[in-house]
Amino acid sequence: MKYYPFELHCHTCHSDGSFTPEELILAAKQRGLSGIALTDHNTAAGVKEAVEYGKKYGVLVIPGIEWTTFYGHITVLGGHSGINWTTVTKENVVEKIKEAQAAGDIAILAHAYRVGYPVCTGGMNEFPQEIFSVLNGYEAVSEDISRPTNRRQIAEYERLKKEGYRLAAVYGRDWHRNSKGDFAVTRLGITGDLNVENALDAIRSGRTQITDIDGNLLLPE
Amino acid sequence: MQTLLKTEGRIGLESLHTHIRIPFKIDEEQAEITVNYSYSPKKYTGSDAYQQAYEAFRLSYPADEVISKAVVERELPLNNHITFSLEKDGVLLGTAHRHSPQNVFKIGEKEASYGFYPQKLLPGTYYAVLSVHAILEDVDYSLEVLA
Repeated sequence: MKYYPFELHCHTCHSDGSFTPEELILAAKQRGLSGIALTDHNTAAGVKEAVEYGKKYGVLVIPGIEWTTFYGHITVLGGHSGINWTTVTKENVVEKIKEAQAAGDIAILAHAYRVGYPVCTGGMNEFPQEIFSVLNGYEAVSEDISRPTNRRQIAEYERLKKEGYRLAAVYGRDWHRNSKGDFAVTRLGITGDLNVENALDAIRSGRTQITDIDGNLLLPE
Repeated sequence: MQTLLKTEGRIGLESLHTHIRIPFKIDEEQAEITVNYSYSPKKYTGSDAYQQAYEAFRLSYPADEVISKAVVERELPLNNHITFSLEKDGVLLGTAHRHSPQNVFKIGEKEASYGFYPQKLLPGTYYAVLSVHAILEDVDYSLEVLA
């Protein structure tokens, strides 16, 4: 098994990112990443182009989408389910995640303690606690490592683990554009070929690490 | 060009966190449609903007973290934010989750605006879906679909 560096939370101009799909792939390559997940807000329209550029430049692209709902944001990786994000509510989110997983996707809760409404609708998680029993992953660290909200996210992740929830700890840069900051990466422990299914399997199995770009471990401690 | 939909309206605070579905019909297959969508005002100028933003920070930040005025002010002005999606038979043809209040989208067989999937527009009932992510005051919108 080998651990590969990924960025699992990325946006392009297909939602509100500044990157074209090609620019995102080149930025990922420059950062030394083996792969990304493309998680535009509420659309997967950029995935096909990103995958093509990924093949061209040697960056694995995991098809995905970020369900940017009024109650929280969930990155859904795999590109199989195609669920209409406008139908996701607090009441049915558990069933919707199960539906996505049945199609072959995985679901990660994004930035649970981002500043929420009216600064960023859904930025802060308001989904019911039951969601943790079905999610595959939790963004324990988001954006700049020094963000105060990461203290709450790491504490919540550790509490959930102690309570027995099976969640892979991942990092989400929420990468919209190149900017200065202290950013981490998610390393996925992949057995076999570096491909989408093996990357998803690493997350399902909890073979993830959050490190800085030099590989120094941040989580698990 | 044929006008498939032309409407305007006012969205009030009671519509916060709802999806407003506005139907229109396509009778004959179309190679492309154009959507003109705008809303106003975008920026919220109410005197309570700072307080609303501060309270959001307080809910999110650790209890022992001091929230500086500068950190809150970086998020001002607060904005109304209503995105557009196109839907048919419960399936989305795309969503433009962007922040501009003035938009022109094209959805067609060969090409589509960012966020939308290129495809033919087959006959049937479509829905323009306005998703009210943030609304801090009454917002007026204008929506036109042309073929």
